[in-house]
Formats: sequence, C-alpha cells, structure tokens
Amino acid sequence: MDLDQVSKEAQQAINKCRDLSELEETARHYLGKKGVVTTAFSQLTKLSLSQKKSEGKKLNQVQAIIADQVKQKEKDFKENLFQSKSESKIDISRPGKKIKLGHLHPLTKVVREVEDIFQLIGFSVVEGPELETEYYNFDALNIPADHPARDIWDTFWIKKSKPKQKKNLLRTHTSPNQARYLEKNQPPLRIIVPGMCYRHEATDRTHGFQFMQIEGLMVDEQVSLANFKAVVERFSQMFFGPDTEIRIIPDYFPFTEPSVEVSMRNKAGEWLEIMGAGLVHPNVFKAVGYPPYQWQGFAFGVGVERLAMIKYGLDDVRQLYQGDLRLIQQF
Amino acid sequence: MIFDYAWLQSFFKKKLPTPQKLADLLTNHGFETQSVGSVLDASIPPSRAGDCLSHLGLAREISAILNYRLNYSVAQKSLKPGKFDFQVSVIDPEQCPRYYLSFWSDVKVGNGPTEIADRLRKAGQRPINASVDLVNYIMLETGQPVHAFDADLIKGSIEVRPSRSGEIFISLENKRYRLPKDLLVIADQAGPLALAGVKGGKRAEVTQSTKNILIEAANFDYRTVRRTVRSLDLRTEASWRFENGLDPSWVDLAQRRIRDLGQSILKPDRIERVVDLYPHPSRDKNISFDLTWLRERLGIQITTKQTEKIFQKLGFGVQIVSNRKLRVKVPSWRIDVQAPEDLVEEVGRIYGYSQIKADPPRALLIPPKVNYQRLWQRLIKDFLVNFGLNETYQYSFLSERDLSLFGYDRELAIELSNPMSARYQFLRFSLLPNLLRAVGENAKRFNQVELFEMGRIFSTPDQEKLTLAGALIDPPAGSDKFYEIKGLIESLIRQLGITDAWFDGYQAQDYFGGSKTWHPNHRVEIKVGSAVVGFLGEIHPILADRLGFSESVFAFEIDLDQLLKFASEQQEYQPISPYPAVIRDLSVVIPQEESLERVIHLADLSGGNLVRDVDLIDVYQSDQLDKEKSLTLRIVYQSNEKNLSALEVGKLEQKIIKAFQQKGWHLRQSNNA
Repeated sequence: MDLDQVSKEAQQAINKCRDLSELEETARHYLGKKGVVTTAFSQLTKLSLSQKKSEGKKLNQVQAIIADQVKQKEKDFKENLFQSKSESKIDISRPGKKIKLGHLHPLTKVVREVEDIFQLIGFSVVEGPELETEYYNFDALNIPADHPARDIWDTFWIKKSKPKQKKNLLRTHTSPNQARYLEKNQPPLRIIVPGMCYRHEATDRTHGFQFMQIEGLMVDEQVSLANFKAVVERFSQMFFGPDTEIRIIPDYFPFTEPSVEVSMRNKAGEWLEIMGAGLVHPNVFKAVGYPPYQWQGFAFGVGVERLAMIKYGLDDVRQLYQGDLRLIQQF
Repeated sequence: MIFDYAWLQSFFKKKLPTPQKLADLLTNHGFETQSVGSVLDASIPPSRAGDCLSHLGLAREISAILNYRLNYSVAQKSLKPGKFDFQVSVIDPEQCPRYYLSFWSDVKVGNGPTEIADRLRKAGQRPINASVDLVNYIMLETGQPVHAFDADLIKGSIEVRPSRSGEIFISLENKRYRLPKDLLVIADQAGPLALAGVKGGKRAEVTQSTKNILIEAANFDYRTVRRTVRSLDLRTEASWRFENGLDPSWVDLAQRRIRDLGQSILKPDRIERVVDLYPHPSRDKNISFDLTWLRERLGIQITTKQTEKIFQKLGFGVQIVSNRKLRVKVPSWRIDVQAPEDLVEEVGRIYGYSQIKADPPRALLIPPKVNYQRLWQRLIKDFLVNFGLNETYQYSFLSERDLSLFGYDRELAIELSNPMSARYQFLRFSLLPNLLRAVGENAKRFNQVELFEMGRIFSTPDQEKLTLAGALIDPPAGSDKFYEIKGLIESLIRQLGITDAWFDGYQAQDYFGGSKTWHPNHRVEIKVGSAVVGFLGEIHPILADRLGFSESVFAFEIDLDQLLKFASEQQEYQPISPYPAVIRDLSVVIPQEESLERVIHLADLSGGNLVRDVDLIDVYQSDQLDKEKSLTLRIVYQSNEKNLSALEVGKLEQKIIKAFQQKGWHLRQSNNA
C-alpha cells in the first residue's frame, strides 16, 4: 500500500467535505473500525519484524496526519456554524406570546392581605355561618328584641316552614362570631372572622345588600382603646402604605362601649370610613357566661368592599358581584 | 337633624367657632356633622336620640366640648291645677308613662312671630300659625314633642287607650287611616283625636278661629310608638323622638318653656293644669366610677379634675369619694348611660379620641392557630387561577324561575320572608345558576370565558355548605373540554393530598336538579372513596339553550365541606430509583361501556408494586369496533433495588394481560418502546 497516496487521497477527501456529517463519514472511512488505516494496521502482522517497524511507524504518522486534518476541518466547520448561528436574526420587537392567566377577585386579594397582616400579630382566622340565629346576630350582642338599634341592621329574615320554628336570618354582620367564639374558647384570644353579610337596604355605589366584612376581636386581661389605636394604625400602614393617616371618632354600636369609627385620609384629604370598632361591651361577656369585668377586649368590623374601593380606586361596589371579566382581569 | 347655627349660638354668651369648625368639632366628639351655610346637619346616633334631637341637647354637648358655659333657664313655678268638667285617663301607664295637659283660655291664634318662623324655616320646618309654630319650636328646642288641641272641639272625656279594630283616624293632612287593634291613641267620646306620639288629628285641629286650647306634653313608650310607626308606615318628627326612648322628665321642661314663650305669642287669658298623670317618676342614677379603671380602658392619664369637669358640663353630678373613686349622678334623661362603661365613653369622646396615644397591646406571644380550611381554600383558588380561571363573587340569591330551570325541589330551597325582589327570593341552592349567567354575560365580549366561585350554598333544614363551582366555554366547542376539566379537577384533588378520588359515570346518582342541570351522558360524579363530593361535565343542552348559550358549556360543582375532610397536607418523599425504568405499551379491546378508569386501575393493581405508572395514550373507536373500543396503555416498570430484566418485565406484563383476559378483554398488539 502506498501510504503517501493514502495520505494524499485522505487530504483531498477531507477538503472536499461540505459539512460535519460528510467529514464524519470520511473520518470513519480512514480511521473507523473497518477504515483504510485501521485495516492497514491489521495487515502489519503479515510482515517481517523490520518491515513491521518501518511500516508501523509510517502508518502511525499517516494516522496522526489524517486525524489532525479531520480535527482542523471540524474546527473550521464549527466556527462557520457558530458564525452563521450568531448572525441569524429574529424580530425581537414582536410581542411575546399571550399566556392564559387567571385572576383572583379583588375582594379575595383584600381579605387575604388583611388575614396575613393580622396573623402576623397573632390573630387566628376563623369562620362562622351566614345563615344565623336571631340570638347570635342580635341578642348575644346586647341588641334585645325591641331595641331601637335593631333598625340599623335591616335584616333578611328566613321564612319559617313551621310556625313554631325559631326565627333565622342572614347575618347582618360578622359580629355574631364574637359570641360564638367566646363561648367555645378561653381568653386570652385574638381572632379575625372574614365572611359574607347581608342587609335589606337600598343599594347605591357604596352599599350593596350583600357585602363582605372582617370581624376582629382581641380579649385579654388588660386591653385599652390606646391598644386598639396602635393595632389599627399599624394595620392601616401595612395595608394602605406607610404614610397612612387615620382618625378615630365616636360612633355607636350596641355591642361595644365606647364605640368608635376609624377613617383613613385619602389623597384628596377626605376622611373615608374603614371600620367600626370599640371596646367589647360587658353585656357581650355576660351573654357568653363570663364573669363581669374580668376580661377586656376590643372588637372591630371592616368593610372589605370599602377597603377595595380605597385601595384600588373602584367606584361602584355593585360591580364586584357581576363577574365581569373586564374588571376581574385587572387584578 | 338640621340645626340652626344662630339658635345654637343663642345658648352661649361666648362666640361659637365658625359653622365649619363647629361641624368638625361635633364630628370628632360624637355627632357626624356637616355645615351648610348657616345650618348644621348633624347625625344623632340612636343612643343619643333621647337627649340630642334638640337645639338644647346639642348646645349642651357643645358646652362640654368647648368648655363653654351653657346659658339657659326657664320658669321654675309649677302650674296651678284648674277645675274641669271632663276626665283625663291613661289606661296603661306602661305605654304612656306620663300625660300632662294644660288648658289655655281665650288665645289669639294669628301668625307666629317672625323670629320663631325664621328659626323653624332654618331647621327645616314650615311655619303655619302661632299655635303650631309654638309647639314645633318647643320640640326643636327641648326635644319633647308637644301637641295642641282645640279644646272646644273635644267631646267629653279624654282617654289614652289602645285603638279598636276598624276605628277611623283622620290626620292633620286629611289622610284617612283605618286603624288596626291596639295602637295607642288619644281619644274622646267620638273616637281617636291623635295617634299617641306620632300624629295629631284633623278633628280637634287648632285654627285661626280657635278660642281655647289644650296643650299636651306626654311621654309614650318607644315600643308603643314603634308599633304605630311600623303598622301604619308613618314616621314623623314626633315619632322619631319617641322611637328611641325619651325620658318623661322632659315633660317638665317643655311645659314650663311653652308657658314662657306662649304667654306673649298666644296671649292666653289664663293657663291652668288639667292633669299630670305620672305614677312612676323616673329617677337619676348613681354610678360608682373607678378612675383607675377609666384610665386603663382608654389608655390615657386623665386627672380627676379633668374627668369631673367633663361630667359637669354634660349635666352629670359628681362626688369625689376617694382619690380613685367618683360617684356620678346621671340625670334620668341620659337613658343611654347605665353603667361604668358608658361613663368611660362619655369621658373618652369629650377628651377626644385623637388625643389618645397609640400603645401596642402587651399580650402573651401565642401564635395564631393554623386554619387548614382557610389554607385549602387559598390553595384551591390559586390552583384554578394558575390554570387560567377567573374568580367571581355572585349574589347568594335565586329566583323561583331558577328553581324550575335547574330542576330544584322547592321544598329543599330556603325562602326569604322579605326578599329584595322576586329575583332574590330564595337562598342559592347551587353556585351554578348565577355563575352560568355571568359566563353568558362575558361571552358577549370574550371568546374564552372560564369562571369559578367559592361560596356558601343553602338548603333546608338550615343547611349551609361551602361549595366550589366553575363554568367554562371555549368556542369552537371541542370535545376535549370535558377531559380538560376532568384533568383539572383530578390534579386539583391530588394537590389537596387526596389519593383515592375517582370519577363515577356508571351509577351517577340523580341528586337535586341533576337531571335538568347536567347532560345525561356527559357528566360524572366526583367521588372520594364511596362519598360523592361533586359533579363535573357538560351542562344539559336544553338548559344551555334556555340560558342563551349557542355553544356547549362545561362546569363543575364540588362540596368543599365534604372534600376537604379528606384533604391532607402530609407529603411523603418517595426515593428516586437509581435504576432505569422500562416502558411497555399494551393495547386492549374492551366493551364500549367499560370505564377506562377501571382498566387503568386494574392494570396498576394487577401489575403489582413494580408498576410505577399507567397512562392512557390512545383510545381508538372505529365503526368496525362498534360495540367495543380499543385503547393503548403505556406502562412504566421500575424497581428501586435493581435493573429489571426483559424477562422480569415480561412476567409482570403477563400478570396484567391475564387480569384483562379474565375480564374477557383481548389484546390487540403490543408495542415495546
């Protein structure tokens, strides 16, 4: 075999290769298991020792040359490939593909945020029934039958199926859970109770006959209005932003004494009511069987729609119950 | 109530702040107030209606807030009783705790003085004549309603008694009322003259020609007045003042003040007392008040002196018992102040809540209890949102029409006795009706609408369940939507750590409304173990059409109270096998009605522990296979201990094939991948 010839042919074949796969093919042809060079090596056994030595040396050289040339060629190809890949262009100005995204309802977002803030300061989240008894909605909250204050909570009553059945209603506030929770648990305690409430009232931009409220209750040995102020200030700053200013003025609720209203100041400088609150009325403790004046507490009720309106700039609470995607998809 | 600023000023020698400033002060101390020109519109809380629905009442508050001296006095002499030839009686003193009547002879009822007419106008009332203006003025000043009768038009004795069923009462405005039984009326022999505490009647009206009048200053129980108001749907200035409770002692002030003023306005010849029926006079209350407790409740360091001053300005008596105890004498007309906590409020609101410094509570560091129900709710909502669904809240009410449309049993629905309207007559028994409507509304604007709601549903007797529902359209409706939802719910349930959920389409029970709500063949029951937790599938084509859909609508509704009982947050790590998995496909022909889920389950079960996963990769339904369907399962075999040989895998595969054959199913071909 003329090794010089082989080497020359190989060089030509390598140069002729147009791409990596042809190069691989060519490399295999010469250097593969059954390739020309490999076969030549196997033929060496037939030769004499001295011939073996010289032919073997030569073969090794040829093999090294071909391998080197393949390597060089491969490098060239890859460089070209990288070059052309790097030069390829796409229209990066085209908008990204639309990904299907769902959205939580703004009321859910508000409730979650409130829950998270209060859980940080040790309030547990509990829930109570929407279908409520007259006792928990009113009597246990120091609002006996005939109490003029019952008018404040215009109530949806459930039609009785039997005349003797007790009167049930849709809860007009989340406050029944004060009594429900106090009955079953031992102070000290801190809870918040989110939930849907209902009032038989004409609706307008800021009032719906169905709305969400979050009740808060803290009961301990020593709880003051100053304590409440600290909690509600911190809450408002976490919820609305660090510079939020709040105002506490007197209000009236039968189940708190004193009773207050909490407002926050908006950008226009107006005070917007965010919750009703106060110190738990001793009659509420009495109703749940606690010894009078042993425990103290504060309670509050936040309107979730109200918070949503202020936080997001919504202008009509009724929109929140329409399921309109044009609204929901903004959140 | 509308207050005339000048009238309020008349109670003070010192100049009041501007109306705007005064309004802000009142708002900060208990009465939300707006100033409009020279009047103030103050909202009086129900607890203060008994003493603040009057210029005097609000002036007293102002005096406490500003620490101004209140300048107000009335005649102290009591009226001499006269002799009259008619009787006055009160049947039930509980309904009419006090009845005071005076007789004014030979009065001149002309136009009232302009100063009074002016103030009435500012306070929102129309001047009529000297007599009417006078009684209205007294009410707006003292808060005690007063009424004048033409004495010569009264027939026989006067009785405060319950109405008789069917009695006719004609009001001052000439409105005719047929009274039900048991409303309290002032009546003579000829019948009702006035509705007690609510409205005067036409029959004994005082006019320009009236000579002699009877002036009534009475007290009526709030329950009695409320009954009349509700029963006749008639609310008046007078009823407003009685409805929240009024103290009978105001009668003294009103009858004295009306004499002061009336002398010069009506110019009577003489004024005599007819009766003052007041069997159980109201009393001032004494409350022992602990100053330390006060400071602890408000969280402020108020001095004894400051506290004493606040009480005095509010008209309370104060006696210092010790350096921490006061004895506070609360006038009977402060019916809202009954106990020490009420006194805390009085001090707090006059002191000013804005003056209280925030002070974080000191409490045991008890971490909040984890509410797993709430956590699951969050997880579920997030899961659905991540898959592109949008959350909604709908009203919790449905109409009678919804009952029949969705095939719900009326007996099971909870009905309201006073709904907003017929549309909201029942509590929702399912989330779907309103949710589907919302989908329909959105479908007018969006091609793809996928909504869900989590909320309570209701059914008799007094049942309330937390429920999750979703409804989707995705035109053009492909048959894949069903499987998409099924896959979604499957994954959702798995996320809740529930491993034994399955879908049952065979014995799907007909629950309430099921047959009208769901497509008879395109729906399944969602089950955990043997419990049905919900449904998913296509909405019945008839219902979809009635709801205005032209395309197919898909939905799911799940009883979360039920489902979440099975939820678990325990997650156990399965070691990752270092040995390769072997994948084999198996094709089997099964009867048309056979459940694919059961086939997969059977493959999984019969193959044993080394079967890691069984996936359905193809279902073939040809016309030739008209009573059968062919499916291909991809089965993954893997051991944690060794490489599985072809022989071992073959043995496992044979077990599965054998199980299939025992069911009478035959293999089509087997591709090894």
